[in-house]
This record gives sequence, structure tokens and C-alpha cells, in this order.
Amino acid sequence: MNYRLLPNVWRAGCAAAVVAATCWSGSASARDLTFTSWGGAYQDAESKAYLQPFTAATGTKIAEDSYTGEIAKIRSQVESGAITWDVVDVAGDALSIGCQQGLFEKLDWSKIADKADFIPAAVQECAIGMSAGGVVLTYDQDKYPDGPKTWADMWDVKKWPGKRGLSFDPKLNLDMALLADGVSKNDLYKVLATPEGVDRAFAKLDQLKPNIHWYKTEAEAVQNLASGEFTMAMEYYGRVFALNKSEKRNFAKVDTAGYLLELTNYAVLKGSPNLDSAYKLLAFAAQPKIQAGWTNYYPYGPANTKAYDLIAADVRAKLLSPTEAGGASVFVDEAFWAANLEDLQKRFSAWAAK
Amino acid sequence: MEQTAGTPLSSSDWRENARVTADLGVLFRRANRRRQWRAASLIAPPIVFVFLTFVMPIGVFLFRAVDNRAIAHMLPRTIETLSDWNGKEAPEESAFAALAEDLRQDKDNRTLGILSSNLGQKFQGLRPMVMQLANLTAPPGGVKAAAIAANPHWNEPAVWSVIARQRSTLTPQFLLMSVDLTQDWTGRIVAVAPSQALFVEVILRSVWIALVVTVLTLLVGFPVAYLMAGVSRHRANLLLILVLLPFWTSLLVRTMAWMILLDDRGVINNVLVWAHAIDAPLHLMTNRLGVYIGMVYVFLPFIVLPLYATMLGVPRESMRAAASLGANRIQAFRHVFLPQVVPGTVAGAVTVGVLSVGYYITPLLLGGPHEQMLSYFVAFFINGTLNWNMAAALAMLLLVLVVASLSVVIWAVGLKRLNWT
Repeated sequence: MNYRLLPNVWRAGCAAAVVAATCWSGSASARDLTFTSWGGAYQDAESKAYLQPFTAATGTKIAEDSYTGEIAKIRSQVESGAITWDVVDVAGDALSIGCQQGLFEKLDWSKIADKADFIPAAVQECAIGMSAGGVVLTYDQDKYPDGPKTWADMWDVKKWPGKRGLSFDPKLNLDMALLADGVSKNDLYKVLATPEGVDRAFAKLDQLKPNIHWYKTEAEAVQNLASGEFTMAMEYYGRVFALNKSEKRNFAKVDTAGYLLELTNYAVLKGSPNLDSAYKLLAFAAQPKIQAGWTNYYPYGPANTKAYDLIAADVRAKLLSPTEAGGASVFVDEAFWAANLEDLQKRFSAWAAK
Repeated sequence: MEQTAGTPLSSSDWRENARVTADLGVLFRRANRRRQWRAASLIAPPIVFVFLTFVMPIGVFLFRAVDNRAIAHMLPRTIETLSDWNGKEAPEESAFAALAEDLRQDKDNRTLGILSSNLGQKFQGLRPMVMQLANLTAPPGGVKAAAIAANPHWNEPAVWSVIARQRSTLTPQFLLMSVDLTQDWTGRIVAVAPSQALFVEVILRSVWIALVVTVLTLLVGFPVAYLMAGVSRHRANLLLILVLLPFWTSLLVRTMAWMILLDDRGVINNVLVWAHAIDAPLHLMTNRLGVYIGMVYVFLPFIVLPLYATMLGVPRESMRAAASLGANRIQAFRHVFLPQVVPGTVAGAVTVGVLSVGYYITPLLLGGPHEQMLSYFVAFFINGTLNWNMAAALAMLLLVLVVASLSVVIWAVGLKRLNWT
């Protein structure tokens, strides 16, 4: 070893460390507001309806990232303190778990919007509900002019033979099975919270089991619907709507059966360095005008009830509207699922493999 | 130290000789130690790197399978108060008050969700009870009376013994649950409720799928490697590229390609129906068959490469020699060729077996409900419910499974005979 080299090495090392430290702190503070959502056409719509107008109005740049709902990615950011996301579009059950575990900021609604303007379910401790997404009963109206009217019709394999497309998850399926079995929507989660109710839901699904095609990705769901593999299916309406639009198809959303509604939620990561900008984005996106504009890009009804007067009638007819929850539709009880998902998932996996 | 034959050693010679030998030995050992240190210092950076970036994070994560410190930390007053509890009947008001105070604190710290779901896993029904008690506001008649009025189960010593058990910094609960066991309130190990029993079946399923995939991959890969070892260098290289080509494509893309091929309305079925070979489409995926096809395809290179390397090392002359000694081709193959390629075969099979037992993407996409393996549930607990304790327990189980089966193979074949290149 050439010992005269050592000081140089030492100096070079120090210089590298200083540069690295500068970059590190620089990237942490000067980072743009980062918005993370589910990717695809859905995030494109969010970008056009909320993010781009926000940047145009305020000059605040927004970086975008995508995930597939893995709340583990949020937990590891919050636990390590290396926070790279600010505002996230998060699913209801994950929101419920994350809010309890302190992964999201508790929101100060006075900085966002008037709570009274929003549907009650959208006003949450850790998030603002932006719009009502959810699953619908769907089928090809061109193929079956006299199609199913209720969830119970899914079980009528004589009248409509063929596969039923259902997501490979206990969530939504157990809820839907109870509705099909005649449980009223107001009692749904009271019944599902009892062991007898869970037995009843599994018994109902058991009757349909030979005809069920369990899909594991949204892409698989849409592709099988388009190819005719599914006679009917329970699918996210946003995807069905996009399929109808892009392929000029005529897949129904059966309004009489009611939808299983889930809010799309915006939450802010706990400890986000861009908290102020995040609040500004939430407040901007919550405005009736912006919420109404969203419906031009995606068929999920706004959570701000004041937005509906600003939506054209033809657009409104194709929306999955949360005000429909007054009819046959029901809001999925995210807190119930957050509390019971593990037990029901284990039972569901064992049952499905039987 | 060579002695001339016939010359007897005098005793002084012998001593001198022994001294020199000892000195040489010391010198040799010293030199050797220095060389070893130098070698060690050269490989130290990669070892430290591997330790810091691989062994440590995995170790820390796996420790979550038994780690109970966080939970004990959330119940400081309760654990303190319960330390002299007799365990026979529900404790005094002081324990109820301590628990209520701890829960209020946890609610403020936003750790109540973690605590309640953790306790709920350790004792059925405890989760809603804990949530309820946390929301109880300063009752006039004492916490005990109010808690029992809200839920009579608070009067049962069973509930309290589960809470008292949280003073321990380690918990066996998640490891037990990973094999469908649990502790009852006395601490005895019992089977979980039948509706919650799942993982033993999943483990058996994972092991079985891994075994079948390994055997099938071997059956397909062996002839390919044999062919490659037999043809000219130029052709062998071409075949090698064909074998490696899929390696350079994203796994997800390759699996999606198989979905397009195997689907009920996929390419294979369409061609067969069009050719009138079949009337109704064959079910080639969302079942075991699809998983086998997809996984054998993915793992083929892992078995072809070590086999090919081993077969190249088998002298062709040995086969000719066998023939010249009167063996027919099958006899020569069985008694001369096969024994020489055992190391490569075992190495390839072990690699495929180990990789496939923890496989995720292919069973997820090409399999149905019967094909979901352990990793599916690891992913569910990590991403779906944030129950990293349970995910760690399942991962630990997988690790134990792999290490155990590897040990059996190494014991049976011998480490030195294995050839991984």
C-alpha cells in the first residue's frame, strides 16, 4: 500500500460524502408534490381532471407515481421516514388499516372543503372521498336482450348458462352473495358480522361455485368479458365503461341490482414534507366545478353533491352515482372488511380450493 | 527433514530436529495466518455488503415472526398491574383502569389499530372488546363495572390471562398460526377452528407442486442438455441461446404470453377447434396443468445449464469404451453416462425445487384457487392487511422447509459431489 496516497483517498472520500449528503438533503426538500395512484386510464383521468388544472392554476408542479394498492409501500416509507409520496389514491380497507396505524395525516377539513357539501361517507378522518367507484352486475346486452335484473339472477344458470366472472377475493363476493340471498341492504353488514351470516354467504356462493370463473387481475376480468367467456360478471364499472367506449360494445351496468360502492380516497402520507401543497391539491380537487369536470373523463360520480348540477344530463346517465345509494346500491363497509379480512380470506381460500 | 537410511539418530540430533520442525511449523503457521488475513480482508467488503444488504434485513424481517416487544410496549401500566394477579378470576378495578388508560394512550399514539388486531389474533373476539374499552369515557361507577356491562367477557379470567401474557417480549402465536395451531387461554397449544385451518394444506400443496415441477423440468431438460452436449460447438451455442433467450424477457411478459396461448379462447384452443381436432376448448389454464406448463417453462434453463456443463465433462470415449467392452447403448447410458451426470442433475433439481416452492407470479396468473402457494399468502399479509408478523412467520416456515429439504439432499448425495456450475 502506498501510504502517501491515503490523504488523497481520505479527501476524495470526504468530498464524495459531502456531495452525497447535499444531494440527499436537496432531494428531500426540493422534491415536487408527488401524487400516486393506480395507473392506467384511471390515473390518466385523474391527471387530466385534477392534477393538470391544479398545476395550471397554482404553478405547483406534480410528479406522478403508480402502485397497485400495496399499502406495505406506504408503511415502509412512513416507518423509515424516507417519504417519496405525498398524496395517494388509496382503497377503502387499506385506508382504514393505515389510518388506525398512523400511516396517514389526520385531515383538517377546514383547509379542504365544507363537510356539508359532501356525501357523509366521503368525510373521513384520514382521507377525502373523491368519487364513488365500485362493482356492478354486467353482461352483454347485445347477446342477451332480456338480461339479468338482480344479483340473484346470477344464480339462474338455466336461463343464462355459462361462466360467472367473480374476483378471487372474499371482499365484495360475500356481500353480494348475501344480497342475492335476499338480505336487505340495510342489514347487510349486521348479518355478515355474525358467524351465521358468513356461513350463509358461503352456502350461497357454494351453489354457484361450479359456474364461477375466479379472475385475479382486472385485465383478466375485462378480457374474459369482452371475449364472451363470462355470461355475466361482477366487475369494476370504470373498466366496463372503458371497454364499451374503446371497443364499441354494449355491456350493461344493471341499475336494478344495485352497485357495491367503494369510495376512491385521497390521503396524505404521515410526515409528508409537502403537507401544505397537498392540502391545496385536495382543496382544489374538492371544488364542485373540478369534481364535475372529472366526470368527463371517468364514470365515477363525484362525492361533492354540489357538482351534480354542473354535469350534463347525458354524462350523468352513465355515471356510477353515490346518490344511487338511496336506491338498490350499497356502500361497502370498509371498516368491517379491514377488521375481518384476514379471517374471511383464510376461510375463502380454503373454501375455494375445495 | 529426510534422514539417510541406516544412520541412527542420536538423541541430540533428534532434539535439534524437533526444535527446527517446531520453529518451521510456527513460521509456516504465521505465514499462513498472514496470508489468510490478507485473503479475508480482500473478501471482507463483499461479505460485509452481503451481510448488510441481505442477511440483516431478512433476519430483521423474519424476527417479526416472534417479536412481541411492540405489543408489550403498548400495555405498560396493564402489565405492571397484572404482575401480581392470581389468574383465577377477573382482576380488580386497578387493572381495568390501567388497561383503559393504556388504550387511551395507544389511541392518541395511533397504535390502537395494531394492538387490537394483534390481540384479536391471539384470542378470538378480543379485538372489538379492546376497541370498545378504548372508547369508554370516564365511567362514574368505575371502569370494571362499565366494561363488564358493555361486554360480559371482560369478567372472564381467560381474556385477562391472554393480556397478561403480553409481558413476554417473544410470542409463539404467529409461528403456531402458520401451521394452523394456536394457544388457548391457558397457553396450551391447540388446533385452530376448522374454518380457519388453511396453511398446512397450502404447505403440502406448495411442496407437491414443487416436486412435480422439478421432475417434469428434469424430464424435459435432460434430453435438451444431452442434445446440446452431443452436437457441434456451433450448434450447441445456438441451442444455448435458445435456452437462454426467455431469460432476457420479463417474467410477467412471458407468463402473459402463456395466458394468451393457453386461454379457453386462446391460440392453442382456437387452432385445435379450427382444425376440428377438438369440439370444445380444452381447459389448459387456471388449473394445475397451466401452472405446471408455465413453471416448467420458466425453470428449464436452471436445469439445462448445470446438466449441460456436467455432460460436457463426461468424456465421449467412456461411452465408446463401454461399447467396446460389450455394453449395448442402453447399458452404456445407464451404467457409464448416468452416474457421471448425477452431480449436475441433483444441482439443477435442487435449484428448481427451491425456487419453485416459493413461486408467486406463475401460480397466481396461470393457476386457479387450488394452485395458490405459500407466497400468495405472504404477499396477502404484507400488502393486503399489513400483518407483517404473520408474513414473517410464513416466510420463516418456507425457509425452514427449504433448508430442511436441502439438508436431506446434501446428506444423500454429498456436498462435494454437487456441481452447481
